[in-house]
Amino acid sequence: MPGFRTSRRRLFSRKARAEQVAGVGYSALVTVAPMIVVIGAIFVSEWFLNYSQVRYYDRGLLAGTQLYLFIFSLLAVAPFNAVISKYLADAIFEERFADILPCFYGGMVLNVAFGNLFAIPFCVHEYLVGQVPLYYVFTGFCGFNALVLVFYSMVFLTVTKDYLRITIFYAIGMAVMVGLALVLHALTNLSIPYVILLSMVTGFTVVATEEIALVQSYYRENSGNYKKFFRSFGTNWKLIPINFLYTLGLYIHNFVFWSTPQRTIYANSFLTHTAYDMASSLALFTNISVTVAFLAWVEMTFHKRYKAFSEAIIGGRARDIRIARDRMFRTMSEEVMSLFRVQFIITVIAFLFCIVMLPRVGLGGETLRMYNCLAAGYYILFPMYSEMLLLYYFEDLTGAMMTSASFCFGTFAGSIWSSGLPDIWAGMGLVIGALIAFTVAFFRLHWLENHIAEHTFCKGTIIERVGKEKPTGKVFQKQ
Amino acid sequence: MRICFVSEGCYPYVTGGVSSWIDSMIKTFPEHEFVLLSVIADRSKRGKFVYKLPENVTEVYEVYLNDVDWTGGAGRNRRFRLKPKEYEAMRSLLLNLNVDWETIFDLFHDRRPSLNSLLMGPDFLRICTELYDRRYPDIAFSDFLWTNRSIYLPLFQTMNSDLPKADLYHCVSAGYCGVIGCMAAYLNKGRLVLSEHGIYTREREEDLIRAKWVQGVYKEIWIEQFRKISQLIYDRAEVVTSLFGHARELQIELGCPAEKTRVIPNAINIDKFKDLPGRLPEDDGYVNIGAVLRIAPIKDVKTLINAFAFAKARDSRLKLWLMGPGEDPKYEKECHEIVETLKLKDCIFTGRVNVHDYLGRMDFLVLTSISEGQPLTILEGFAAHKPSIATDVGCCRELLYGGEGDHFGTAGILTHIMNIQEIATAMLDLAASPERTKAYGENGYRRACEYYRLPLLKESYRQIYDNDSKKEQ
Repeated sequence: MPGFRTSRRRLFSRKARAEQVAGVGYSALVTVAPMIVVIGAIFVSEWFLNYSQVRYYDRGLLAGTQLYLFIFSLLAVAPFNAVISKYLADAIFEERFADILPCFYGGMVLNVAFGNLFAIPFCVHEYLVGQVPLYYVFTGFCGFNALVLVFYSMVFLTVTKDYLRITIFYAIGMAVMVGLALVLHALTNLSIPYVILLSMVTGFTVVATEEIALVQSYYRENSGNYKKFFRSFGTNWKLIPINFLYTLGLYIHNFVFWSTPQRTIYANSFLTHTAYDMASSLALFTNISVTVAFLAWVEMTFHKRYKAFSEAIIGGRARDIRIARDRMFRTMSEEVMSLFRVQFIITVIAFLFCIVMLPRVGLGGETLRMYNCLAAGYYILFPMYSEMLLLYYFEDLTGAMMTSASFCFGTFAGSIWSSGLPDIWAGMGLVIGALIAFTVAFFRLHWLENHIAEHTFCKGTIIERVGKEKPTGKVFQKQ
Repeated sequence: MRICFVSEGCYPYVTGGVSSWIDSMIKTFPEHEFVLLSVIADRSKRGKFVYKLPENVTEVYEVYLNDVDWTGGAGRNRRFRLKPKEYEAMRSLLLNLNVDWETIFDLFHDRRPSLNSLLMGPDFLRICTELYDRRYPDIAFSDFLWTNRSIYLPLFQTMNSDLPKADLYHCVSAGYCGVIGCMAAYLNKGRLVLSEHGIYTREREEDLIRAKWVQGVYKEIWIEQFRKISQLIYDRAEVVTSLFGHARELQIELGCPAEKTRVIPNAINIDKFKDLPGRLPEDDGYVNIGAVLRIAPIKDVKTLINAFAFAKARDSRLKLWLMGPGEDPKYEKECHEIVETLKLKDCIFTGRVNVHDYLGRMDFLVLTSISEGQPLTILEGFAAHKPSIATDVGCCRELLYGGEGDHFGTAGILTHIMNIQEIATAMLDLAASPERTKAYGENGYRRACEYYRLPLLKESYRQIYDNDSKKEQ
């Protein structure tokens, strides 16, 4: 009965998958959390260092550098991190702990190499064409690699759920940043923007070092089985476009606006659209609570139903499976609607707060006009992401890929169109992309509800598949 | 005429009764061309023949019960769906409702589906769900589904194979080789004959009842599956032969139409046993007991050794000759260990030998199998004037005591299976009275000459085969 054991293992692995989904969600959260912490640290540093006296160009160059560091380091780790996360979850579930370090080192090399494939030519361009001093370029380059390592190591640490320690790492890193900025400013003649950049890069290097050390302290054995790890990219290839297109979709509308005539270019290298970039950051923070609420809901409510469904699949009668399935999908639709309602209230309050408060701190005009539509876009985007996580839950990678692709391409096309509209409609590209993807994911979940039996029981193989023609059965022919 | 022998797990890969029978059949009909279609476990046995193929064997085809899923080009058949007619046929197969085998055969022959796509596909799931809801709604669904996949995997593997063309397909058992025999006969418009040495369905039932890997209702499901696939060839074969009367009764009981059935016993070339070398000087003072068998669990060699030890303790003249190759290394090792543990003298494992060199030296033969058809070893013993001790399985009773109308008398001693004391007592009895032993041997010889001569078998099968020639004319 070869199939029995295989099927059971696959079904039991749903527990690991739940953790993986939580991990993916948490990753999303912690990619935002550093931003908040860093923005805070940068504000503190700038306040102490009397940043307002710095000339406009230097401030723009630093802002552009910081923006590029964050966006492109996130994009650099996006293709591989999801596959690595899946491999890690499987290795832990199967108790192949010695396979984790090969995955960690292999993934590190992949991410750093892939990131530098684009970072090095950019830095050369920044230095040669943009005439930016070499030390400044090099510091930015180091910062990029430090952030790649920070975002990469985070995948491994989310699995350990040692959130407190991660938070402490960030606190230490940012304390180092602020402290170093003050020391350098007091003791050296370095320019204020460079002091901020250098201290920020140092802060992130500290965080990366701490995270890597922690990973190594958790997983000490090394099987040296790199082949298995790299092969997993072939098996889980769909995760590459899913994560990359989703992350790209998050920023592609910014890229479109960076190509409009209203953009600003620093050092012939950093394209930005200050108003749009600022508006999209504000819109993101307005709606970020959806992700937090979703993760809490997944852990508290949906996971219970899902677990009951999984248990019914493993050892239940068909009627038990049907009852568990109906309960699970009913809970899912009820909770998603509830999530929408709660988020709507939060968004409206946050939106009103921004509308009232932002002009008072000098953020009005174009930024505020663009903010309206973008806030709506993110309001749709995050529930869409929640749907995508549900598709992950059901291991529907095809559905997740359809969602992320429609989000990315929809946002891209929509943004090209909306970039020619008045400021108030500038964010329509994101609204369109998120709405299309939300609809795709919604119907895919609905389709899954109707085809959950096939989706659950028709996955995998019963015997090894060989992509060759079957050899002839004739083994003897008399001459 | 081109005749295709369809067999499972025997000729030309393994020695044994059925293999010897096929080999002798092929040699008996040199005027016909023979093709072999052999169902074997997996590709590790590919082309590993233990028989020298006779001149009139022109082709050998293999069918593997355990094989990979050959999907051809990347992605081919990955989303395989059954057409409505195929779906209904598959449903009839799973639900055992007047199975539409023709459509099933066409499906595997014309479309060559990927077995993963078929067994893991939505159509199979839907049919399994229907079967489950109808008949087994109170068991775990997942186990039920995977059991059905496991059940149908070997069947579909066999049907997904190359089948040679022939005028007549002669299957030597029901079950999987019966199915592909039927499929080949259907596709190539050939005739179909079944010669059962054991009763396949009954043997599988016994295996399953004893098996530990399958429990509860799943035993029933597996048994039904074997009945279902055996019924196919009972329905389609034009002649169904068995080796002895009781086997024929079982075939009829299992659903084979009585008018198709015919008893054709095994046969031997008695002339080949005429001038066997006799006892050697080294045999003086010994009573040689021969056991011509494979060292395999089904032959229950452990009981034989224990019985011999029991007898040897009472009559030191006894000497046991175990003549035959090992089949299961673990079992063979255990047998040797028993001999060592018991510090048993005069128990000789000869390995594979030419039986003709030894038979003449034996005083009598012994066979302790837990399952048999009509053992050739007893017939060969008779041809060499040697009586046998045999367990009461298959046709052994008829061979030793004679069937209806047979007045040749007793030709050995029958015992219950796995009964050490009975077997040992029989050994001691025969060893103690050489005259009786000799008389039994003569009775056996006369019985073999009357009922189990090769020309009789040849004539019976010539009639079956020639039926085709007449039709052609």
